[in-house]
Amino acid sequence: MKRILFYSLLVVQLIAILFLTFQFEQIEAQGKMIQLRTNKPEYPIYDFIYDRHMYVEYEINRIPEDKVSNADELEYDDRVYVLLKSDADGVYQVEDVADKKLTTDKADEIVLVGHYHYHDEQMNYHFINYGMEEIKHVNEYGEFRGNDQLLVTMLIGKWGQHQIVAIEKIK
Amino acid sequence: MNRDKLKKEGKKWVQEELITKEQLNKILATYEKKDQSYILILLAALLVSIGILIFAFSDWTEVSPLVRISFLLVPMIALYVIGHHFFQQNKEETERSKHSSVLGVSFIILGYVFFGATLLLIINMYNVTLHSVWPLIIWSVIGLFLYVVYEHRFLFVVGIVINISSQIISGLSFSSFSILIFLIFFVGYFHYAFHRENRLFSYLFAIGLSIQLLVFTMISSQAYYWLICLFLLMYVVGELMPKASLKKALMTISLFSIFIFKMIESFLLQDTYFLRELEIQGLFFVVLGIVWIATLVLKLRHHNQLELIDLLLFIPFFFLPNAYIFIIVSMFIYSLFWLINGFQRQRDDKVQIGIMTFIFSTFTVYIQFAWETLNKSLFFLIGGILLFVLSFILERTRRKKVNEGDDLK
Repeated sequence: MKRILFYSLLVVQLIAILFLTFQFEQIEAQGKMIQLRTNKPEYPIYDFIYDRHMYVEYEINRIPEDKVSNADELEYDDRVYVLLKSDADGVYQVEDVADKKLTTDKADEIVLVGHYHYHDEQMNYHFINYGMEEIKHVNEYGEFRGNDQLLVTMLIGKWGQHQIVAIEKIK
Repeated sequence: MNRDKLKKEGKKWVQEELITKEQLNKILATYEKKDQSYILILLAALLVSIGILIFAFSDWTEVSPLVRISFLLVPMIALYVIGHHFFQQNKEETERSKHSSVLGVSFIILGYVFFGATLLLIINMYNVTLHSVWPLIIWSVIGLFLYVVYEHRFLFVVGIVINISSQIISGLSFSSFSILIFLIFFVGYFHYAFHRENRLFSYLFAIGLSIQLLVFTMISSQAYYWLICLFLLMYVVGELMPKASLKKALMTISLFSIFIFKMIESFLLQDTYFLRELEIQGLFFVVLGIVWIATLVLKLRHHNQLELIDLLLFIPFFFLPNAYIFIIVSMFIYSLFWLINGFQRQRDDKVQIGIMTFIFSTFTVYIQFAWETLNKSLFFLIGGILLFVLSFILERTRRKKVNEGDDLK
């Protein structure tokens, strides 16, 4: 009996790992391609590339106050749903923010899940973190400095994974 | 008593002709020398586990994801199978068989660590943005099932540690309390802590529960002082628990938790910003009052009048001016009560509680950053003099009792 239970448990673990791997591997076939622009860092503190990893801040991190309707109810680290829409240049911009699930079927729109961080009352924006602000092994995409403004092309998978496809410098 | 200590003492008893050498040998024979080799195996397993986790997250991007996953999957399967094979040899009650069992479980634990490392590696490799601790929930469920299959205490320890850590990570990284993690903990581990009546299981469960309650209060946007209510509930559940080991563990850990809570609270309540933001909720007093009175009634019905002092720690003081002083005084009253009571009744366990809590209370006062040196010095001076007076009274009572005993002879 113990042997049967042991092998069943081992098979369950293998299935879990193989299932997740298979799903995440599908990103190139099923993922949605989007382009995001980074903000030019205001302070040298953002100007760092450490161990080939680079921290960037996307335009969509800072959301204008008028796009966040229920800002008073949001607290640090609350989960939020951000609807993005592609502009004329093909760069995705924030359309709507909600703490309830948002959906879209349109080809030029996508919903990202983020976490609310803070409200900057002087600069009039709400900061939202998406968990994709750290670009690992940035040297594989070209030579960049921390204070460059970048155009990042990435694939977004349905399981919350992302994959950087290309990074270009904006002159 | 420890075997080596008994051997040493026994030689003295033989010399003093209290017992014969044969009797000593017979007594020593009942104290089997424990095989400690399992500690080495455990330490080896621990080091290898840490190595696996660090290796999984090391920078090896040159290798393709599928190859990386295989690198971890193959050893995982091998470790599980070897571990199961060794464990199955545990059929007889011999020393060798026990050794195989420990070795088997250590390999199974390593396989389990490899499984967790593989899950986390996948998340890391494919840049999956997590919004909850779902990989840790999977890891935690597998940990519980491994214990269900083998029922070995090491697997219980590893499983419950992963479960508790997952809840802490959920609280710290995602500001959320995972109901699923709590259900696995409460339904799974409570069942075994309750039915096995094992001291280690009971204490681990109680510590885990205390941490889960802490995370719940931190996340639920309720005022921090609701934790007093939750710890008191834990204490009452302990009081009502029919199983002795779990009863003691729940009560001891709830008292330990509330004591640590009070230490921290005494600092928080000196922060003016914290005090200004503190919102006093009437409902808290109603709920606490009900639970407090229920505990009081239970204690009286169980004729545990002495333990009524425990309720002192569950009295909220935060709404009073200079609340931190009340908190510190209540901590000292509690510790002194058990010190005096323990000495009077010659109960070493109570004296130990008294000493421990006294040290904690003294430490709390000592590190009060907001107090002036003179205040601190005065506090310790008065405290010290009081203790001198107390020890003098206790000693006098003791001598009186001894004399009365002599007179009776």
